[in-house]
Amino acid sequence: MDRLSQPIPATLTPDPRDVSFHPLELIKFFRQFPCTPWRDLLYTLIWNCMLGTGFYLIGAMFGGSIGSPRIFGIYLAISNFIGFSIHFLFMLGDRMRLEPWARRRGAIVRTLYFSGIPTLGVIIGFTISSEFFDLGFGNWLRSPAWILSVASTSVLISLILSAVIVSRERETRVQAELAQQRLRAERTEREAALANLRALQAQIEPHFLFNTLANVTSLVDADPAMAKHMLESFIRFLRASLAATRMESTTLGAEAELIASYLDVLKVRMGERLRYSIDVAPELETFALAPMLLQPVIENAIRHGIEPKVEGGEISFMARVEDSRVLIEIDDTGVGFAPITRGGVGLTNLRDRLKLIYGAGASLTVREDSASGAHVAIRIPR
Amino acid sequence: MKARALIADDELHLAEHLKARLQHLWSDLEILPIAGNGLEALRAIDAEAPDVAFLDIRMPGLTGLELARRIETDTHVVFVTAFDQYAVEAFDRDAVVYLLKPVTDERLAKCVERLERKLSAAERAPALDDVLAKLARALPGAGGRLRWVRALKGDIVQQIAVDDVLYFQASDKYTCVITREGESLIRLALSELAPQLDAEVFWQIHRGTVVNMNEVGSTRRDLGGRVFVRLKDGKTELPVSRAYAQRFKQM
Repeated sequence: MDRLSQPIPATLTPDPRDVSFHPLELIKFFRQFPCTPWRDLLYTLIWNCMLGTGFYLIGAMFGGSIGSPRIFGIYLAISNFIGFSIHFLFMLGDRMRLEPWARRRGAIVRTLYFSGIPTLGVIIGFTISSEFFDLGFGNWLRSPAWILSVASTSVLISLILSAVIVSRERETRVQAELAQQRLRAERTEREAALANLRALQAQIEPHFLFNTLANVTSLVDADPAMAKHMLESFIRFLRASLAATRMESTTLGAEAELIASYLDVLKVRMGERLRYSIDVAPELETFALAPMLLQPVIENAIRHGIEPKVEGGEISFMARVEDSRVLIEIDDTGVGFAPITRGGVGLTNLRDRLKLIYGAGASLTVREDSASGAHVAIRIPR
Repeated sequence: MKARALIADDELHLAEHLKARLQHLWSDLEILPIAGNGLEALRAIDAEAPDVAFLDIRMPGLTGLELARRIETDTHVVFVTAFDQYAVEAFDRDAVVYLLKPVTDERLAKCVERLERKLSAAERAPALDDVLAKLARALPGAGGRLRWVRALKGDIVQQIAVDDVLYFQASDKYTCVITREGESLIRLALSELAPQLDAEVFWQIHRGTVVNMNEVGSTRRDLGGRVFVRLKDGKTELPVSRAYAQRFKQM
């Protein structure tokens, strides 16, 4: 019961900032670990070494020889200087709120940001490495070859970064959509469950109860036999309804009995204004179905169809086999429907319960007869 | 001059019982023939101008409340009800006279006493318009979103669950209702129908189109920047006019 009364949160879209976009996550293996700042630092280290190794191998291929371990070490070091520069620049950008600003400003600003930072990182990285290893990159700013090197490295890094960001964002969107769908499905199920509960709980409609008792009181002196008859029918109805609330399922025969006692009571009250007929095919007497599924429809027909009509009307309840399904028809010759009606909760409850219990196998159609009044047809799989 | 009363109730036994008890407690009272529905009651009140009218609330034709608003004669109204939570609360608040069914002699006696006093003091019947107007607005069944619409398809008139509707399309003074099963027509202009729909679920995408967002699978934008919604059935695509494209910008 408590689970049903808790609200479902309105949105489940994850904040894009929570989504890490570490390039290493392009490799599926690395996505399984939870995103923390320390994890990202480690990942950057791994990433730098991978890139460093890659560049070394490319260099070796072009150079025609595998250089010494020292050269390899230098490649690794340079990669790490560049890599961590980029890492810390991004951290700085996020801390200073530049990154969310850039994201909001549109595609061009975003691209400039996400390619500008790597470029800056590359420059800083190279500069630091140059100082550290005394590689004499001092004048490299003036050398076109080096500029080309820097440019191509940054472009490469930017491309990789973009690939990562785009793929991660698409994944986020897909996840968000899935979450929304799950949310909607959960909501429908919950509403149906609530409808189920409500239908079971709202057994004795107070108006019916008090009106009936009032009638019995008024008849006790004037027509005791009639009073007795009415009371007996009412007791039968009460007994059947209360039993229904405690059962998982009932039979079509029992439900028809319940409806008969209900209409019996009403007939004493409404006199000539109510005529009714109940016709259940004998083989369907023991057909199992959910309790209090059909009685509310009858109640509806009386309350909204026949009671408001000055001359009253007729209700017919019929159940028979139709192909692979059981067809239950509840017709009344009451006032019919207006173009739009507020309410209609009873019918909605029925529709929800049918969906929940039988899924697509059951159907509900509500039509008007040519002479006005309503025709409700419920089809349930056997 | 004798006081005259009218009893209006569609349930004959209850009306007869009230008549009997009333006669017993107020012997001077002349009780007019019982009215079996709201329209009959209105006619009788207009014609006979009784001093008191006992009105059942739930009656065919006109309800007791609707009836009371139309009374023009100087008639004291007493509502009679089996159970009407909202009405009773309102009546208590605004000191409107009412009786609960089944009517006990004790309560009826008190009511009779009050009425006799009012009549002998030649008190005018109080105006109930305000209370009744408030009640009419607050009635249950007027609650919540629209769930069903009455749609015509050829000579079949059907109630369609609003949740099953894919989209509504304006068609002159009527509205086309499109569901998975097909098309039908509802005798109401889209401009009247749209405000009654749940605005979270039903979005207006065009001056003549309102779509059920639960049935929308995806959106697309063509080269000219126009937006289209594609329904989950995979086949239907609906254009979104520029005026309504705002809502889709985030997508």
